[in-house]
Amino acid sequence: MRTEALPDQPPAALSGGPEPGLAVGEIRTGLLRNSRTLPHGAVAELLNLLPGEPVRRSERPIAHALSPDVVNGVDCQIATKSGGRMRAVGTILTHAVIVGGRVLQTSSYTTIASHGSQRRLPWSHYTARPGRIETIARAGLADLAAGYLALDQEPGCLDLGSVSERLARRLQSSAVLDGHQPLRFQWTRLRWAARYGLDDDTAEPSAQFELVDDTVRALSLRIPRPPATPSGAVDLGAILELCRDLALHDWVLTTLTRRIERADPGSGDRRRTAAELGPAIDHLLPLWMPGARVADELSAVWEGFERRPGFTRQWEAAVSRVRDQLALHTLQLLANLSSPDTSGEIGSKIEF
Amino acid sequence: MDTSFHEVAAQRRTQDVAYSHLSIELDHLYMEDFKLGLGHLRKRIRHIAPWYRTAMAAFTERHPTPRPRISTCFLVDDYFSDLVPPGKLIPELLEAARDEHLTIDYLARESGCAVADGVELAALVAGRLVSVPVQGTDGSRPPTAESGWLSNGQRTPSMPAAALHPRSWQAPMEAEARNHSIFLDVELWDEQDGARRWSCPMLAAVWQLLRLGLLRDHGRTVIQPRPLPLDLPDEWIAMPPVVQLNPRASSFHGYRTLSLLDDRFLPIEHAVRVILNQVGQDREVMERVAQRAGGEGVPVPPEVTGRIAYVFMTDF
Repeated sequence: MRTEALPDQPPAALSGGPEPGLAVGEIRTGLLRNSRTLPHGAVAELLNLLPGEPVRRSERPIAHALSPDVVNGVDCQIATKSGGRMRAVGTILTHAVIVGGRVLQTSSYTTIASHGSQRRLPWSHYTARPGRIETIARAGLADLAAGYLALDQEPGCLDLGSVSERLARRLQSSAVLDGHQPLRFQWTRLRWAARYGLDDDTAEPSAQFELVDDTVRALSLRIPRPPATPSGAVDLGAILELCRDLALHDWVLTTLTRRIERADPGSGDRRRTAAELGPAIDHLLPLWMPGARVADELSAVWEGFERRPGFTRQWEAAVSRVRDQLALHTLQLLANLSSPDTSGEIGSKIEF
Repeated sequence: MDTSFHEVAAQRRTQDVAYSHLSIELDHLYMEDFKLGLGHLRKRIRHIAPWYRTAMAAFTERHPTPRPRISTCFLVDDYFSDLVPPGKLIPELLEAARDEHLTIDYLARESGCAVADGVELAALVAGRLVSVPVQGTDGSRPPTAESGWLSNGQRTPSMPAAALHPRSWQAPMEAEARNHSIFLDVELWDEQDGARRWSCPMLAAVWQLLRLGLLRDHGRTVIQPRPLPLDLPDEWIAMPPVVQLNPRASSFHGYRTLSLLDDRFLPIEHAVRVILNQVGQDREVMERVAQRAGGEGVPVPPEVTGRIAYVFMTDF
């Protein structure tokens, strides 16, 4: 994977390859408001967003369930890099994913095509192509991608984040959940843009991941030869999978490291530290499986991020820290057991 | 080593169906029409026969293929009233058609557009409605929806104070108005005794999507025509949703549809088109239909309403 961005090239159709395209989206990631792992049946019920469409489940290497897409219509402005705005009309899609029966991700996305129709077309034109918005005026895809990633959500501009957030809120208030938050955490927002089908010298995808602030992330992808569906169309599902996978692992890593900070291992109160870290062991540690669901054509993106900054390196360091703290706490308990002076501690409960 | 691992529940398989080039609907009658007896039925069929022949000729001239596949169908309105039992209606209908040298290939019951073989088709379509956005809809606010209604634009804002300020009335607006609006607000369903009762335009919209072969339930086709039962039941609900009357008929589903209708159905079909324009289609099914039709040299318009044609007949 290249870590340097290439200068923008004019989009060109590849011979036999997919047309150049742009997809954008925004993903919310957080924990389900449920005290324990949500069982299969409840996951299926929660994600049953559309009659007649299946909730797609897989079990290996981790339980994963994907809802069908819900369609919404938009007619709004989209920002361009050059600071301008242009009108775009079409439909956006939103779905939800539950990973490991614990983590909820809501993701809204659409492809953006530069149509240049100069006017809004009959609505049936857009409903025949769900998940696509078209600019009324002509626009460069690179300009639109950069404009979308400029993170100031301007009023009147395409707001995929709000759509994702509304779905997350709706699902979190479902009666299927017991309403107990198992762990304090912050939702993260990943805003992404992917350009694909580009006439680059290399087939290798390139990516930039940016931590904008505590909870906001931006991901820019450039995928010269995107994965294709059996019918030869761009497999947008594979790109979405990559974005959700990165959002998930970034969230898990962020939440665990914050948890460790909160537990304050340096404070000397090992019992409190162990109690703080307990929920993280239950809810976060089983989730780390970077790139497990990512298509071969896109795995280079994960490999690149593993080299720098090294997500798994940081994760392993954090997990070691958690385990060390627990080991020290256990040792302290054992020491207390053999020491008659602290007999009051013997019956104490280890609160995980 | 080459390994492969698949999980069936992780995939959605889309079932293909066979398509005729054209599905022609031969008139639509209310149950009250059937109550008027065989003479009335004959008159109706006689009325549509020349239009049917004209339509066939026009279609085959516009879309020349070595062997045109055209199927005909007839929809019986049993959803809102169930007056004439199948055992009386079907033989009379077939007799009237035979007299005019018309073949009815398929017979469907309208209640099958609400629920067919346990699949709630109308609910399935209602779940896919994407209401037409007004300019400025950017996703930041939830779509404004009146439960059970669908319009072709923006309604007059409801203002409690409107009665006090009669002049503050704001006109509704058609989203795709050409200079002036033709605003239409369609009732999709109402509730009767706690149960949802679908409106005629909603069922007719499902009927069009069924004929166009665009509906799937969990990826599976929702209509499989079955042969006419040997013993016709007393109630329509006991009939299969779609019956194949002609064993040699082309497929029930068509790349395009044509409906020969009495002009009293004009407002219904306007409403049907308002609904169909706002149904978010199944991407995969749409792609496959377009590919197959194109491959046969009879390309279909990308928009669903572009595939639907009508002849509205008045008694002239």
